[in-house]
Amino acid sequence: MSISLISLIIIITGVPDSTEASFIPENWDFGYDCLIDAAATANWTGNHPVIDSTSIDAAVSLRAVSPEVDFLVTGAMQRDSSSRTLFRRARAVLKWPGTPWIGAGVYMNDQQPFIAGLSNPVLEWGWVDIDSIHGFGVSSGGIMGFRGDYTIQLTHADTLSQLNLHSPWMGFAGVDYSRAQMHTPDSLGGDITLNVLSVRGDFRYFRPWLILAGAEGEPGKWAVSAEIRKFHPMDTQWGTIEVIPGMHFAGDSIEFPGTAFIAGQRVITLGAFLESRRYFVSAGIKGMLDLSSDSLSGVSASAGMISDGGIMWDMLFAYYADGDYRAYLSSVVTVSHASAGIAAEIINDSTRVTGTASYAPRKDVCAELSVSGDIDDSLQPLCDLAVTASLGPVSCLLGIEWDYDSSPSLRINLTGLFR
Amino acid sequence: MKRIITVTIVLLSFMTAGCSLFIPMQKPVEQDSRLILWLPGAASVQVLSDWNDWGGSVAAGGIVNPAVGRMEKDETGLWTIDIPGLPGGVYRYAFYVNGYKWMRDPVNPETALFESRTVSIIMVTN
Repeated sequence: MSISLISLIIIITGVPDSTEASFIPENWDFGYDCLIDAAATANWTGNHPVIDSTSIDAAVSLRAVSPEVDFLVTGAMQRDSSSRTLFRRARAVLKWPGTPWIGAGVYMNDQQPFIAGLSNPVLEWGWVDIDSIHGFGVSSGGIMGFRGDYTIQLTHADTLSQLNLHSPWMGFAGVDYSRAQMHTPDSLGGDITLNVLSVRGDFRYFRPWLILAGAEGEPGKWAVSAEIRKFHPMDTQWGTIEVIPGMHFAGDSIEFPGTAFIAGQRVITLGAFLESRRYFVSAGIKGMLDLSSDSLSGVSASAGMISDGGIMWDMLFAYYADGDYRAYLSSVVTVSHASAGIAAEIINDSTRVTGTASYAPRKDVCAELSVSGDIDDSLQPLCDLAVTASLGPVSCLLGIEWDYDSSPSLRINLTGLFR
Repeated sequence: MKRIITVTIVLLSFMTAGCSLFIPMQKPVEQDSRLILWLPGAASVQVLSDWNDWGGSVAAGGIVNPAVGRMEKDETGLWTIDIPGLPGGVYRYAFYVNGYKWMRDPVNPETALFESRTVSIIMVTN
């Protein structure tokens, strides 16, 4: 396969010079990408390194685009313990000339299920195995700004169909509707259908967002998320304070894959966030009240600043009602091409301190050393040295890591993108 | 006399440095559709996000494409990228520094999770 792909690249890239006037249609655009990723790791055993693993991934994409047709083929070669060669991605799309909104296509691993939600997506990337997705879809739109798409995808023994409809921004509101239907064999739980309605409004002084989700068949499979955005009790030239109230409720038996909804969730949130228009500084505080149990109740705060003296400050803090807490504070000072920093992370009874130093002798070369250790019972130090360099389309990472209870390990990673 | 002048200069230096520790740096002209990161020592910075399949890391192959979300650096160490034309919605994003290190936006207080990492959130209004 690799020979055939390379031959195809040579043919395509050679075409414009040699046969420009002969058989290349007008308005066609041909191109290719070749992404190569090679990695190796080794452990230092005795007085010499022993190779632990090697892998080479290469993805070659060929594309041909015209106003009416869009072809893309990506072949991937994986050289590791499995030594696989496979097609990773392909699509053929027929478009209505003059508009990107009307078309139909056949896809292989090219269309992932995803519905953008509030703080978390309703359907998360990767919740189905990407290598198993095959299907086709149609899209249409353009009439008064409405657009929609429908895809049917096969994932192993399951079939996922997804309908997405999007309204234009109507000056005061926009509406999106998605219907995701998963057909699974009866032995694995049967079918499930999720309807998701997303409404976002603009009432000048605030912008409410509402997501309603419901799975058909059982009354306990529902979810409601709402937030009020862009409510600014303070809005000056210096910056703004935005207050964001929100609520996330879910039925007791919602079990659709994803990260947005937790079965039985009854959570109310209130956040206040300071952002400056003129300076690199921000801060925020957010409270969460779990009405069903105390497991999610808590308060979190974050702040960040880049100071005039070249110091980057970053702070996170979270405290939960069950007594768990987490704090993170870091500061990194940068002077010319060098920087040094220290960070402390506290998770309940554990405190870990990390010191970093980096130096960039050239704009495309950077070396970074980090040393971390627990300051509790045992130090458990960890050292990591990474040197990265870019040379045109090729970038290289060389790293050495030493853990307190194991021998040093080396890693090298080369990534190249040729087009 | 020399000693007093020296001590005064040293004290003034420390005070100036101390002040600049907590005086925030001024931003360039703000644009809603632009992400900015001040990181003068980095060799490369990318923006990985929901809107670009996280650079390819969640797509077929699982390799972060070094051309996706690539930010441009100016002489002051500011990395910038324009993100116009996104449909309205809430998107998660993170900076990918030197081809191996994930970093949330230090001056964006809103955070979320992506594959157990703390990342930042941006809301596109329309």
